[in-house]
Amino acid sequence: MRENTIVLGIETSCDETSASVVKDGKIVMSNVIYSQINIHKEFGGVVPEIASRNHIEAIGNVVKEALFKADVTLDDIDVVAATYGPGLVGALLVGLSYGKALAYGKGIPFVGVNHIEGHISANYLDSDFEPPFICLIASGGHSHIVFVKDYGQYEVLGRTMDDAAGEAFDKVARALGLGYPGGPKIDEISKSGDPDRYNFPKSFMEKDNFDFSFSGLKTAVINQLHKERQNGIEINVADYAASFQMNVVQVLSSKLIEAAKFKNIKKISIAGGVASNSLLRERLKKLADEEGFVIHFPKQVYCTDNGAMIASAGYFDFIRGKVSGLDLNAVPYLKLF
Amino acid sequence: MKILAIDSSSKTATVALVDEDGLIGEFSINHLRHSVILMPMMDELLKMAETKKEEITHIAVCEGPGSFTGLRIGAATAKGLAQSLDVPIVGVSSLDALAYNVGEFKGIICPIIDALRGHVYTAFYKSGGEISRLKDVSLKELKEVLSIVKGYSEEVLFVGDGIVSYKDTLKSALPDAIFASPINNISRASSIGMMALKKISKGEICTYLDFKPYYIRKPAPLENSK
Ligand SMILES: [Zn+2]
Repeated sequence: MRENTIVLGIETSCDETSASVVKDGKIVMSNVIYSQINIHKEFGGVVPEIASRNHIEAIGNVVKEALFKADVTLDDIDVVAATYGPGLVGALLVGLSYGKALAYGKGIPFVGVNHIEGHISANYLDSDFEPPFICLIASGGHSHIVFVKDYGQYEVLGRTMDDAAGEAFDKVARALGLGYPGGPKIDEISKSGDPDRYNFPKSFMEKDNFDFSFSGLKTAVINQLHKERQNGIEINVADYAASFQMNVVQVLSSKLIEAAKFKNIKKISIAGGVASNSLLRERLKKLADEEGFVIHFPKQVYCTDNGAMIASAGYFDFIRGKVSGLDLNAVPYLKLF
Repeated sequence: MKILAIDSSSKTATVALVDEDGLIGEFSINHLRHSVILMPMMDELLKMAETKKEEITHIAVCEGPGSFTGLRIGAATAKGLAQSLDVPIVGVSSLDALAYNVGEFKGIICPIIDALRGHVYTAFYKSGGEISRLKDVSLKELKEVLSIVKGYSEEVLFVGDGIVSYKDTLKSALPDAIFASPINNISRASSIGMMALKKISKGEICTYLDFKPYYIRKPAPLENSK
């Protein structure tokens, strides 16, 4: 394996403009994230055109800052990696076009990175964690359980049939009047709520089924809210949030553990925005200890969308011989494979 | 001086290489798929013109108005090139460039870019050697453009994709109007490059950090707010 390969990673698939410099796929030299959350908050979700406009204005400074913080110049960069899907097409095109042009101008290789593979690769950052392992990727856009056999070798064991986990958090948070983004809000208010107050239904809980469905749960929460409001019962938002969160966390954690047992792999990890959820982390830690599994949590900052995870995935793609052409297009519904 | 010019603001993806003596080379594909073809076209153009990337002194790019996504593909490409080649960016209006396509016309030049829902991005130019803008670039209802044109005593030439979208309306309202030929009617990076030469001489350049597209229209959720 080559030593000291420095990758510049660029990520613009949703509402974070991010660039990062990473050495050998693991050592984060800088990770600059410009988040647009406050811009999109008033709309209750990401507005694609507004996200794209902010990306194009921010990207130059974000890349410049990432190089500056890593104390390198473009001459020190060996490879440019950028997300080419899945994500919002207009947003993806900003980082992808920028990355291709940057690599072309410098005469260095360009690697287009799958965003989901990026989330999985967050596990390698500032860490010695290595494949094989079973990874739960849960965010606003994706919910997957993936068997990571080796770098770049994946077997998808389960995926969501409807809403992504993070999407369910956002929708329930909206119904409860908690605002956007829903994940952190529900996490916070649940701490003062009773998780056993409501027993909402769980989907696909049969053995060896690792797919998810969260839309039934979301509907059950909303129906229960309607019923109580109609009957003039005062809504206890914290109890709702806590019961909903417990349901999602139980489904996600038990499916991850069951998938690991199914594949007879004793290493598990989580990735994606929902991986920041404190109850999920707590419960998985406990379950992993009981089973004697090794569990790895990426740092919180690597769970949100960021350039470092893209640089890492780009590095492992590159050393396996993958280089993308200048004709690479954005693929908004890109699959893991 | 060597200017690499890019325009992906319309259906046409176009790149050109321009210097003080004029056009060195140009590729245009009037067939969308900008993200796929823009960079390979540029690469081929430089190779065929036997020009090294390092010889480029400026990146000229269409600043808009035009297709939002198209503008950003061009802007992101221009910024990435400008940063890696350490050269400035020159932003050129899509309407100025369209007017330049037909700069020999002696009357009033009116570029119209289809902005959908009966609207166009437009401006008015007088030529006679060098084109000069008579009115600011704006978003107008087509019927407003028609009434402005009726006020001119000179001949008026229309150019831009608006003449395709609104051909029948234009022809019936203004029987004497002249329309650009299909060749002059598409965006051309050569015109972006030639307009950039003038802007460079006036010092109107920017960097990969501060260049941004000029959309005119707000994003949909904000369109009705001020
Ligand atoms: Zn993500």
